[in-house]
Parts: sequence; C-alpha cells; structure tokens
Amino acid sequence: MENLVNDLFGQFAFLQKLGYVPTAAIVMLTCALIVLNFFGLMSGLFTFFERKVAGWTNARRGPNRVGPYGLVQFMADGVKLILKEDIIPAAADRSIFKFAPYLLLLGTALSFVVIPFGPTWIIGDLNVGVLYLLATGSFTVVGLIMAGWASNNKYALLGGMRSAAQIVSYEIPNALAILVVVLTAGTMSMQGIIRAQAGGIHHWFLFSSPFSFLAFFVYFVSAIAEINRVPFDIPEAESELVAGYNIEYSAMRFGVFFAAEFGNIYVISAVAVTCFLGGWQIPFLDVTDLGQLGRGFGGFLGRPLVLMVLLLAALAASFLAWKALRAFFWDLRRKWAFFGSRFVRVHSELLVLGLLFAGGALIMALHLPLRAYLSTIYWAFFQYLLPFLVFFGKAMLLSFVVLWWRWTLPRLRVDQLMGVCWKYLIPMGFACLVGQGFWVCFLS
Amino acid sequence: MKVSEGIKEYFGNIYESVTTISMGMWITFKTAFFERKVTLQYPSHDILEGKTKEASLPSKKNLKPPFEPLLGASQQNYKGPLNAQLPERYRGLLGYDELKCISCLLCAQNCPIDVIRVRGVKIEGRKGKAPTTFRIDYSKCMFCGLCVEVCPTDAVFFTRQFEGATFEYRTLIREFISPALHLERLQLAEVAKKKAIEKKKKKHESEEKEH
Repeated sequence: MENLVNDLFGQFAFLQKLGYVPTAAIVMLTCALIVLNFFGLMSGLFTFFERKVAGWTNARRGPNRVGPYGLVQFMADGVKLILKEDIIPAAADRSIFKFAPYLLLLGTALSFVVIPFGPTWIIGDLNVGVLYLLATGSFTVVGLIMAGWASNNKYALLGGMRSAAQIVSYEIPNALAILVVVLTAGTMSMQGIIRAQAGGIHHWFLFSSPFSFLAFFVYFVSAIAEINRVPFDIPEAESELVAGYNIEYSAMRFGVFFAAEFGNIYVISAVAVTCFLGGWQIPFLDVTDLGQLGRGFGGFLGRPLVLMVLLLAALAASFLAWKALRAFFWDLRRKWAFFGSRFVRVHSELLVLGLLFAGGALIMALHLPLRAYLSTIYWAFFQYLLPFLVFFGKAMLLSFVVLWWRWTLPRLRVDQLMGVCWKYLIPMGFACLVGQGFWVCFLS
Repeated sequence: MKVSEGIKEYFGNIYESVTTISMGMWITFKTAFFERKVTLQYPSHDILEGKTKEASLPSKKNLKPPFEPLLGASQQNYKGPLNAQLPERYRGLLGYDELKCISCLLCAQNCPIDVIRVRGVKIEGRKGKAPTTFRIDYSKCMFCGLCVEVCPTDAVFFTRQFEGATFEYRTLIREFISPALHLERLQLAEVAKKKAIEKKKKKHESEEKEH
C-alpha cells in the first residue's frame, strides 16, 4: 500500500469484471472527491484563519460569531457568495472569462495529488513529484492572464500582465531551491524526499547543511511570490490597480479565485514542509517503523503501575466531568439557551477534558481484556494518525508565517519585486545549488 | 563605484532586509499574542448599562453565543456607560414627554419631511390641548432637530439612545401615546365637550334671565 490510488485499485478489486476502464474511472472519481473536498475545506479554513490572524495583529479578536470560535464563518461567506448575482461584463470574452477561475482552481487542486500526509497517505506518489508540482504551479499564470485579458478592463489586464512577469520570474529561484533538495535526496518523489530526511531533526534538510538552510528561505520567499501573496501581491495591488485581475469578477467566480489563493497557501507550506522540514518525520524521534512503536506502547500501558496512575487521573477527570455536567443541568433547569449558557462559557474545556479522561477510564477498565484489539488501534494511531498530525501541524505553522507576513510587510514596488528576484534570490539559489553540490560530494 | 563598495551594498541590503523584516514580524507577533485585545464585543457584551447584556437579559432571544470568554479587556477599557460618554448635544432618537405637550403642531409643521403626526384634544385641567396621537416615522427622520428647536414646552427632545435598528420596517413608526391613553383622552374630550356645552347653555340661560 504505497499510495491511495494503488490502495483503491485493491479495494475495488471486485469491480474488475466490469473491465479496467470503469474501475479506473471509479478510482479516479474517488481520488478527485477526496482532493477537492480537502482542498475546499482547507481554503475555507484559511479564509477564516487569515481573518483571525488579521484581527490578532491589529489587537482585535477577529470573527467569533458564527459557530464555535467563528469556525463556521467561511461556510456563511460561501453561501453568501453563491447566492449573489454572477455578473459578466457585456464586452467580456464570455467563455474565457467563465473558464479562467476554474483553471486557477485546477492548478491548485492538482497540486494536492502529490502532497503526502503520512507514510502511506498520499493520492499518487509520482516519481517526478516535485517537477509535477512546479508544472501545476504554472497553471496559475495562465489562469490569471486569461482572467485579466477576458475582463476587457485595463486594470485587469495590467494585473494579469504583472502576474505573468512575476510568476515566470519567481519560478526560477523556486525551482533552484527545490533542485537543492532533489540534489541532496537523490529523488524527486515526495515520499522519497521525506524518507531521505529520516533520523532526527538534524537530518532535516533545513538543518542538515548551511546551503539547504539558505535554500529554504529562497524557496519560501519565491513561493509566496508565486502565489501572489502580500508582500508580493502586485497583480492585485489595490492602491494601483483597484483589484487587479479579479476586478470584474463577482459572486462565486470571485470566490473561486480566493479559494485557489488560500488553497495555494497550504500547498506551498506543505511543499516546504516536505522538502525542508522533514515532512511527517517526528522531531527528536529517530524511528523508522512507527507501527512497531505502537505495538510496544500496547505493552507499556498494560503495566500495573502505569495503569494505577492512569486510573487515578481518570478518577480526577471523572470528577471534573461530573462538575461540568452539574453546571449543564443547572443551565437546563433555568431553560437557558444551551450555547450561551454558563455551562458552555465556563465549563466547555472542562467538559471536553472530563469526557476525554472518562473515556480513557473506560478504556482502562476494558484494557486488559481487549489488549489484543487495542494494540492494533495503537499501531494504527502511530502508523497513520500521528504522522498526519505531525505533517499537518508543521504545515499549519508555516501557513501561519505566510499569513503573519501578510499582516506585517508592506507591498513591494514592481521594480523592487523584480530586483529581489533577479538580483538576490536567483544568485542565492545558484550559490546554494553549487554549495550543496560540494557539500554532498565531499562533506557527507 | 568601486567593486568592493558594490559588494558591501549588496550584502548590506540583504542584512538590512533580514533585520528589518524580523523586527516588523516581532512587533506584529507581540501585538497578536501579548497585547490586550481592544475589541469591545458590543451587541453581546454591551456597555450601555455598564454590564454585559446576557447578565441583564437571560432569555433565549437576546442571547448570542459568546464563545470567547470575556478576558477582562473590555472591563479594562470600560469608561462608564456609553450614553454618558456621548457629547452634550448628541442627536439620538427623539424623545417625547406627553405631559408637557400642548399639541400646538409646531413640530409637525416645521418638519421638512412630515415625519411627525400630532393630534390633540381639549380636556379639562390641562393647558393647551392634550395630545391623542404623537407618531414619529423614524424610517424617514433625518434628525435635523427642527422639531426640538421649535418646541415651546420642550416636549420633543433628543435622547441619547442610538440603538434604533429593527428587523421590520413598520416598527420604525413609533407611537408615543398608547391606544389606551388615546381612547381615554377621547372620552375625556367628550366629557369636556359636554361640560363646555352645558356651561355655554347655563351661560346662555343666565344671560337670558338677566334680559
């Protein structure tokens, strides 16, 4: 079970009698469903996260009205955008105008195919994974130019042209930085690159050599420029171009532009994590087979002393849960609204903790008779969920940096932008490549 | 420019950009995570009455979910009720004192958009006319203050209330005199009318007698 596509072919083996093509179609549709759903969820959450970070950096709170902590805000926004009128200018090139946002979306969604989430969680582990990523990244240029051209608006066209100039230039340092990684890992497959970084934090390419350390920054800066984020967002510079390439777009087509942009944030962070931060490798833990660790853990939990301590903790937790539940019924008696009630405001964390630990207590009680089954669960956790959580956590941390930059730095001028690329990042990229070559040859 | 100077400038630029960017990022980081939030969560954590709204109105209708606990920031920024902080001559919603009104219709006549409707009747024991209807259509009112300026008895005045938003259009038409009071006034007016007629008759009769 190397990747999801092969796994799904195995799962749908009973369809083999229908022939290869229908089976492949079903597998492809399933993969597309997974990718698009994850992509939609991520871009939606990023709109929320962006607004939250914007609030924090301005000493505000950010959206906190819709759902818990405002988490469902993006769904409300999406519903609003879908319900709005989709205006297409009379003089616009209709078919291109309609198609452009989806091309942009396509480029981003295709990138999700090679992004790994765990040792086995990847849609398709291509042997040219990184090259494929660079290629899908270029869809953005085409989409933006099409949007700018078809709008029949000079600001939109200017934005499109600027984006072309910018993205094509910044692809060079981007590719150079990734080349450093490929040089070190000796493979272009995403999983291969991650496996090459096994064995502790000092084996991650960010820390393994000074040249790849520099390459990380070259990659990160140029990737941010490639997805048109602030401080490199001159294609949609509000102060000069009103809104740039998306000036004539409204309703969900406009939303699709932003979905693609926010999806791209996750893509570049995930690629940076894969190439430089060890992917799903757990820091300070040099373990090649995580599943074995899980099997060991099953035995560890079976020891009497550990069990005693955990039982005591579970008792304390049950007490907390009892207190929280009492507050809950106190609210119910007064017929207060559930979500505005004292219980949710004061005891929500308590309740979650309490229920968690009470569940733990239940598991403890059932642990000894169910040990054989549970060790499988531990194994599954360490094999699948833990790497996923590690990868996702790292990617979210980097995405936070992207958002953080947006709310810190002012926008660059066009000439400054080109200067950063051609005078600084590209020479730096070449220096990294040459230096890393020597490093790989002579020092390791 | 010498080559060495150029090299110095080149690496100086890199150094400067790295240091300035990290300085800026540290500032935003501090603001984001270590500074007090300045937001006053107005509708749910109200400052109008100097206490939170859900404390004062524990009903399902008025409750909004305050998922983030009030971390003391709003209390820190609290400078007393908001009405009290408003300027002296703040033009909030129009207020009306039914006891002072003499139904002179000056406000209605001066209103440039005919927002005010006043009707009054003569009743006993009251100077001028007693109002039976006083209606302001807030959906049209532009708060110019001409009615307030012209009122001889200060019956129409500006309050410091500004929460006039409603969900329905018709609720913006505000009746200041309740239907019960309206009917009572009409009855009193009839009584007063009868008394006046009787008075007139008596006067007439007495005059006739004198003749």
